[in-house]
Amino acid sequence: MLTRTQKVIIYLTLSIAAFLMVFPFLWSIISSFKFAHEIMAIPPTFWPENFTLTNYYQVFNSQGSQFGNWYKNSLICSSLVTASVCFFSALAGYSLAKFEYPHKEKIFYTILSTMMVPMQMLIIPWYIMFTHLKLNDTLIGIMLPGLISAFGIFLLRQAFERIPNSLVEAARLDGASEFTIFRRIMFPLIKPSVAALGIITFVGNWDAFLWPMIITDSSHMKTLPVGLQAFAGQFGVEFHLIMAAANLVVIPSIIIFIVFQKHIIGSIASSGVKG
Amino acid sequence: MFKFLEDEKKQKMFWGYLFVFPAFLYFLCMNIWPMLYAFFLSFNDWNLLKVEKKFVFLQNYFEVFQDKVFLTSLYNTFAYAIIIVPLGLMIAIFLSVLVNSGIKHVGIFRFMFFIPVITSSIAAGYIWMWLYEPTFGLFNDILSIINIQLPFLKSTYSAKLSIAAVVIWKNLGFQIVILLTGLGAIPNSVYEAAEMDGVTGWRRFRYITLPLLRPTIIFLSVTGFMKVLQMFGEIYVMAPTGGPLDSTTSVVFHIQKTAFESYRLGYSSAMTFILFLIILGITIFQIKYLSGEKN
Repeated sequence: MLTRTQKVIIYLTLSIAAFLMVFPFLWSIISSFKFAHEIMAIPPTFWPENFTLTNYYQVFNSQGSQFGNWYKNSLICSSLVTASVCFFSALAGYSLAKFEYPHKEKIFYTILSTMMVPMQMLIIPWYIMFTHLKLNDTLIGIMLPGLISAFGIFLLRQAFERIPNSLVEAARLDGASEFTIFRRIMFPLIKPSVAALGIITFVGNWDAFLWPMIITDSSHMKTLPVGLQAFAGQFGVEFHLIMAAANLVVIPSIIIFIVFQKHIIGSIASSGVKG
Repeated sequence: MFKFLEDEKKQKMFWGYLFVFPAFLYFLCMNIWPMLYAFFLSFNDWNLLKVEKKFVFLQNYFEVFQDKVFLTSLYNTFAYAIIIVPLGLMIAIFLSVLVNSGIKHVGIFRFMFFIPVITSSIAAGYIWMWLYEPTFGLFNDILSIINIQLPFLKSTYSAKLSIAAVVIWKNLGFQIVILLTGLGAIPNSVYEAAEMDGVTGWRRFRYITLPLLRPTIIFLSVTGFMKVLQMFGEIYVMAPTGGPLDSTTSVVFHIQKTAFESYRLGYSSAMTFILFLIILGITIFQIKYLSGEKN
C-alpha cells in the first residue's frame, strides 16, 4: 500500500504531466480569442484582454479557406474508407479462416506481405496510375489506396478463427446461403473486433496527410489536414488566424474522443497500432 | 445454378475464393504491381516534365549515395529515432508505472495523456510552432523571466530536438495505453511474493516490473522506430523547407520534395526502395529477435 506522502507525490507528478500534455491545446484556444495586435504584444498577455470571435469569422470568410468543404471531404473519405475496410476485411478474413481451398496459405501470406511495403514506395506509382485514370483531384483518388487493409484482414481472420466451426455447419444445415451465413450469423459475432478496426481506420484516415496532399490540387477537394496546411501556408505568421483554423480541426476530434473515449482507447490498445 | 456447385466441397471452395477474391485482386493492383513498378522506375531516369524514360540501371542508386541532402536526411532520420524512441519510452514507462501504482482516477489521467494521439498531427504541428515562435511565442515569454531566449525551430542545433519533442508528446499517450495493458497483465501474486522477499521500491521496478514488461517495450520500440523512419507531416508543417540548412529534413521529406517538386520520379523511386530495404531489415531483425525471446 502507498503511504499518504507517496500518494500526494504521485498525484502531483501525474497532474503536472497531464496538464502539460493538454496545455498546447488550451493555449491555442486562448490565443484564438485574442485580437491580432494582442497576440503580438510585448509583454504578452495570458488571458485575452478583449475576447473576440473575429479570428474564427475571418477563417471562415477569407479567400482560400473552404472549411465547410474540407470537413465534408474528410468526413466522406474517412467514413467510406472505414466502411469498405471493415466489409472487405471481414469477407476476406472469413474466407481465410473458415474455408478450405488450394493455395489458401499463399494468398494469405501474399496479402500479409504487403504490410511490409512502406506507403511512400507506392505513392509514386499510384500518382502515375491515377493520372492515367484521371483520378487526380477526386475523392475516389484520395480513398482508393486505403479501401482494403491487410492489417484488417489479419485482425478479422483471427477473430473468425475463435468462432467454432460447428456454428457455421449448423447454419449450412438450415439451408442458408453462404453470403447470408456471413452477413447474418458470422459478421455479428465478431462485431467488437470490427468496431475496433473501424475506429483505428477512421482515426488514421482522419489524420492522413501525405497522400491526400499529393493527389489533390484544387482547394475544394482537399481534406481537413491538407486544407489546414494550405491555409496556414498562405497566412504565414498570422498565428491568431492559424490557431483558430487549427482549433477548427482539433476540437471536433476532441469532442468525439470525449464521447467515445472508452471505445477508442480500448480499440487502439487491443490492436496495438494506430492508422 | 452451376452444375459444379452440386458437389458440396467444390461449392465451398467456390465461395471461399469468391470472398477472398476482391481483397486479393485489390492488393495485386494497389500494392504488388505498384511495388514492382516502383522497383522498375528506380532503374530509369525519368522526369515527369519530360516524356521519355531512359533506362540507366544502377545509376540512380550510385547517385543516391552521393546525394548530400539524402545522406543528411538519412542521418537526421536516425538521429530523430535515437532521440525520440528511448526518451519517449522512458517518459511513458515512468508515467504509466505511476498511473498503475494503485491510485484512483486512472481513467482521467489516461484520457488526458491520450488527447494528443487522436488529434491531427498537422494541427498539432501549428500549435507547437506558435509555442516555439522566437519573438512572440509562449516558451520564450516564459524563458525571458530568467533571461534566456532559445531559437527552437530557427537554429540547426535545436530544430531537430524541437520537432522530436512534438513527436514524443504526440505519441506518449499511445505508449502509455499499451504499457498499462502490459502492466495490468502482471499478476499481483508476483508482487506479493517479491514483497515477502523484501524486494520493494526501485529494486522491485528494476528486477520485476521491467523484465516482465520487456515484450511490450520491444514492441513499442520497434513500432516507434518504424513510425520515425516514415516521419513527414510534422516536419512539413514546422520546417517547410527542411531547414535550417537541411537539419530537419527526413528521408520521406526528401523523397516527397524530389518526387513532387522536382518531379524526378525514377530517382526518388530509388530512394523509396532504399527506405523499403531499411524497413525490411528492421522487420527481419524484429522477427528473429522476438522469436528468440520465446525459446
